Amino acid sequence: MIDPRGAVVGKRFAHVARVAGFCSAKGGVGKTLCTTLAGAALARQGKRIGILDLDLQGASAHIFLGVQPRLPREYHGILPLPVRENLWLMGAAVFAGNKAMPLRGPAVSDALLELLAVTQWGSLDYLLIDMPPGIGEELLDCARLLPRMEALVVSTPGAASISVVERLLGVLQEMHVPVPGIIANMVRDDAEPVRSLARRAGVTFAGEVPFEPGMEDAVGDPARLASTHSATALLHALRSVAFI
Amino acid sequence: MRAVSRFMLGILCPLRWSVKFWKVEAGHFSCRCGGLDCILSPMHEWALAEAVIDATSAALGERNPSCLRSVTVLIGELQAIDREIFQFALSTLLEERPFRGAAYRLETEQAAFRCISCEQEWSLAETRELSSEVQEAIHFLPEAAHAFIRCPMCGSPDYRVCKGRGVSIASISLDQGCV
Repeated sequence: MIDPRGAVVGKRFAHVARVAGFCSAKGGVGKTLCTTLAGAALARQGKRIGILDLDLQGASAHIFLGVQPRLPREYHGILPLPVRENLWLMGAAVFAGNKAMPLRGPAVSDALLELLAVTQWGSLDYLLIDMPPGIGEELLDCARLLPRMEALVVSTPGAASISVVERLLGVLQEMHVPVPGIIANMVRDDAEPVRSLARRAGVTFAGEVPFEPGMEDAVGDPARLASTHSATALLHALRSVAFI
Repeated sequence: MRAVSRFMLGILCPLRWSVKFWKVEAGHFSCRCGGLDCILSPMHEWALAEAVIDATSAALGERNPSCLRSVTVLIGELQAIDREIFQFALSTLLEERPFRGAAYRLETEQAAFRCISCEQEWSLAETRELSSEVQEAIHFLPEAAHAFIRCPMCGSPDYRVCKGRGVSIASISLDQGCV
């Protein structure tokens, strides 16, 4: 038995200049926030941005971007949902809406491969992937199927996050996934634990995104997300590692 | 399963002169045959047909393409792809390939589910009726079934789709003498 879908994944990303996953094995560190902040801010600057929400069991990028889930249009496959000018979104919520989609491992891989094989992204400057927490199917399959994928690693300065992310960095290194930089997110006082982790792991420290108390008010509105201090700090961090 | 989710219009497609390839969806007209961009938008099945053709090509590798005799493609009942569109897409995409003479045979594989909680096994026909929108969601992403289908015995969402999920290649046959 041959699964034919892997044969076309490369074609679907042929006109995507750069593919990057916002990764952190720890949950709750702000991967979705970083993905959507970067997407909204870069789109506002005129870059063509696709966001692929691979958090299949806890999809929330559509909530950050204020997108009401609806079935996609078809064109030689399926088209990502337009969010605003230069910004498109694809993910499990497009099909499952706000219902839970409990999946075991093999089904996760199947869903991921289906999305990669049938979504027609067209021409993009950046495809940003919102990765789920953990070091599971989503990360391993993307590393295998998307050889051009880079990992933008996100960590808070907390001890638990530092420990889990350090293990993730080891796996990324073993899988030869390039890491342009590590981002310290939701920093209240000091990002030194993340700087120190970057030094130990031999990864570039990209910069820090401060904790922004009013962020919740911007959730659901890409224009407001793009105007936050966090978005400015994140773009600064991505620029410092020459990702943008 | 995905019977009445689209309304067909009896308009002649200017590309294929076919009256049955049109659909209208939320004011958007598209042609099922594909070919002309903008007004006529080839459907989701084309992406899967392209995958089958490319996977065949990869499996052939360095062998002489004319060695390829036939390919058997399994169509999972759960995904409910439109066989007519899929076959048409395969034929059209094959025209550009060196193994264009190969026969692509489509076989439907019935869907089967097995509950992890109570071990009940059931078929798609035994699943409660799904709305056309849910059928369409499952058509695009079969794993969306896990958001809408539950074990008919115990109601658990924890089950496995044992077979009949989507599109796969069951076998590739080469002419005798080709290695």
